[in-house]
Amino acid sequence: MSEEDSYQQIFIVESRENHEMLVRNLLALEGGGNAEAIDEIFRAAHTLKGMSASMGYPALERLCHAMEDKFHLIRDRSLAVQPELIDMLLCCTDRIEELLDQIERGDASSLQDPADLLTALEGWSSSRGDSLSQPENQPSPDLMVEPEATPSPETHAYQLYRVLIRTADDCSMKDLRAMLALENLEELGKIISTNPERDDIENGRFLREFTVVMESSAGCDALQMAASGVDIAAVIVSEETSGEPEKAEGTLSTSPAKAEKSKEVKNIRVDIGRLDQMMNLVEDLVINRGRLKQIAARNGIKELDDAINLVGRSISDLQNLMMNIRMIPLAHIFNRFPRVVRDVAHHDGKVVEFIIEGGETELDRSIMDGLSDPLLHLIRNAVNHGIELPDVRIAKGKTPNGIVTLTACRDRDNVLIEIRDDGSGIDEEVVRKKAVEKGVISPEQEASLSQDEIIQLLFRPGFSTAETITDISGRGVGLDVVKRGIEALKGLIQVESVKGEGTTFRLVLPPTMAIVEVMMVRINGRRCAVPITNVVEVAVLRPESIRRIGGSEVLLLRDEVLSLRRLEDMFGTSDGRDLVIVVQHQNKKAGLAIDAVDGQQEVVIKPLNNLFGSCRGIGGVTIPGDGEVVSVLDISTLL
Amino acid sequence: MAQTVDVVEFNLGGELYALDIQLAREIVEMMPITTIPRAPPYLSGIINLRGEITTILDLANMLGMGRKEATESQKIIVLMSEVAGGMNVGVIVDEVHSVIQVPEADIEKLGEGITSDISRFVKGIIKISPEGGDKNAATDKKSEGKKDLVIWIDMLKVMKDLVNVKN
Repeated sequence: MSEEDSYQQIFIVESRENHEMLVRNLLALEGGGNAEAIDEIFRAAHTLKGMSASMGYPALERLCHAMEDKFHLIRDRSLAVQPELIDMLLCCTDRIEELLDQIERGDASSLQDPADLLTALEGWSSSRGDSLSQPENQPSPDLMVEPEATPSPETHAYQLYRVLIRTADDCSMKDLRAMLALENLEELGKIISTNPERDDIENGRFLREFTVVMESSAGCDALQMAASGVDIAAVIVSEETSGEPEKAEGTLSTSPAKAEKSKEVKNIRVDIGRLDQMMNLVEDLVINRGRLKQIAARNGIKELDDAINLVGRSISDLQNLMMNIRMIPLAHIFNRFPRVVRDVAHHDGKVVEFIIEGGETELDRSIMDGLSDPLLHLIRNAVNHGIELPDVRIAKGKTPNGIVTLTACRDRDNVLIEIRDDGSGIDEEVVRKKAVEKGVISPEQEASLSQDEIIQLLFRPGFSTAETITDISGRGVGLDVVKRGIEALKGLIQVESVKGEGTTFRLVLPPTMAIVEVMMVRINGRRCAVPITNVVEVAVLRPESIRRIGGSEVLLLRDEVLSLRRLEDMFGTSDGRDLVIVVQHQNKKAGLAIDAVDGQQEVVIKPLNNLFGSCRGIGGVTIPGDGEVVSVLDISTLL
Repeated sequence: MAQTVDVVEFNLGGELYALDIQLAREIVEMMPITTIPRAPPYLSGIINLRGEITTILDLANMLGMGRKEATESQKIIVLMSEVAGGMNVGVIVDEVHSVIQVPEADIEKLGEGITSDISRFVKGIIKISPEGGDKNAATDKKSEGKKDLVIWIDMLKVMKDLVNVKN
């Protein structure tokens, strides 16, 4: 990869982060956010602008610049935060995203100048008759500086500062970062001298730090913030009185920034493809450790056993570490949703309060990828179908604003995600009627359906209760797609709904898919593996405890009656079943009759390829170490 | 120079078949196949080919010959992964004979005259002379009566059909 390419990649990644921060804080601002939100917005927009300028994307730069102007006015309280303004600014962020997409695709040359949005932005302030007398419509170079000075010009007289900037150890674009910092500082005042020379700094000819002596009225904090940025490890600002640096104040102002910045320095970006490669290697190691263990067990050499144990421990640690590295907090996808809720609610004329809890819950990246779309769909549904219009809600004696809650938490080995709305709930009658209308079920079937079965109808293909097709939900994708998506992740979806009170969709997901602890058992002489999370206990199968109920068998185990499965259609018939393993999935339990238990081990489950279609009861295959291929039972579809 | 095609010739259920050499990755000896409960009948199961999970197709079953006992001489032809859209797939054959080069002139397309229930999987019928038959012998009109017929299987079509059935 050429150097330029890698610069561009870094630019894209960081700009996307800044873009996301922008959107998040715009929403916070709309919801009556505080000064912190506008500060964050500033930082994001400013970095975005600076980076696009130095990478040579004038279209992007101009857009950010125009947005920044508006943020200035908002911060100075000379522009009121109105939903329409936020709408427009969000439009701008959408355009930023489009532009970034284009740059990433490599057709940067065809970047459209966002003239329409620029005019809209300018038009906004003039049409509102701002109290500010500035010639808003012609962005002049000093426009940037003036509002900056307005907040408190009296408190800070012009003052000499010495700013020491230290870049991060692993900073990949030292020159660019330094240049950005210098530019940012320059906006706050006049740079008198630098050490080393400015040319040298901008060409990256400095070790790790450089100092700037400048004149400014903005105050220490403002300078501190201006100079801070990505890959800047520390900024020390001190007031220069007699030309000698005063360390005392310097240290005081750095400590908070240092804590904040050190986070960035510790993180490195790794291409996801490489992480997957590493994961594959770790999986191979796990498989081969199993093989080595078996060889060692056969030969009974003590030294070899010890060595393998040591290696085994390292592999386990490596594996755990690898899993943790791949875990990312759900906030990554959750953060996109407030915007979705807002848009859908606006579109439908609803007022919705959106609450996110547990965004810090971690999930494997591969699961996260598949989760995003189903969740998005469920959230759209909750607002679009669930929450009622404000006047309807008032008529029902509810608060006019609906509440949609998205929560995530760890539940033993699983991750639980809930999307709850306090809307109208699922109307069984409507569902019945629709199902018959659409031919999903026959009228005869309809009469005999239980409540559970009715809710399951929602997940049938070709079913959508939306009265009208909107561009929000009902694009022909229904809950069936959501369900399939979740099941592909080995997850589970449940619905609870109380008419008039709301609906809850509950997703249960495994935190990681790749490596699973299984119990190796034999059924009719054939080996198969049962995920240990499904195994409740292993017991001796006594013929006298088996009772027949018609064609099926039940087992009395202590005081519990369990259905007994011999899995004869899967593994053939046999008599010699001496043991029973009790398996559980959710609240369904059953006993599986088996010949023997071979032990317990960690294996890598490989999915069956799609030639097999969905083999009910089989979750995949694994190679436990002796080279043989063993099928893994999938208890969720087996029960 | 006449156009030729390179094919692997193999025996299956007493008939001669061939498939394009470019589609074959390797030929391995028969090894234990783990059957997957509730799998479709044309799937024999899965083998561990040097750590790679490889799905084994029962070609005889797919060509309507029904399942028969596994024998020692059986082989597995592992296909290039592109053939099966990135999946590792192998097919069971009774015996692999040789790789042969066939002039296109010796290939008869299935047409109105000859039809079969598996004709959608057949690219053509290859006529070759037995025992040391090469290009010269094939053009020898006198050996017409002794020619062997080899059914040229369209493996790409077979795989495409399978994937379509599943999706």
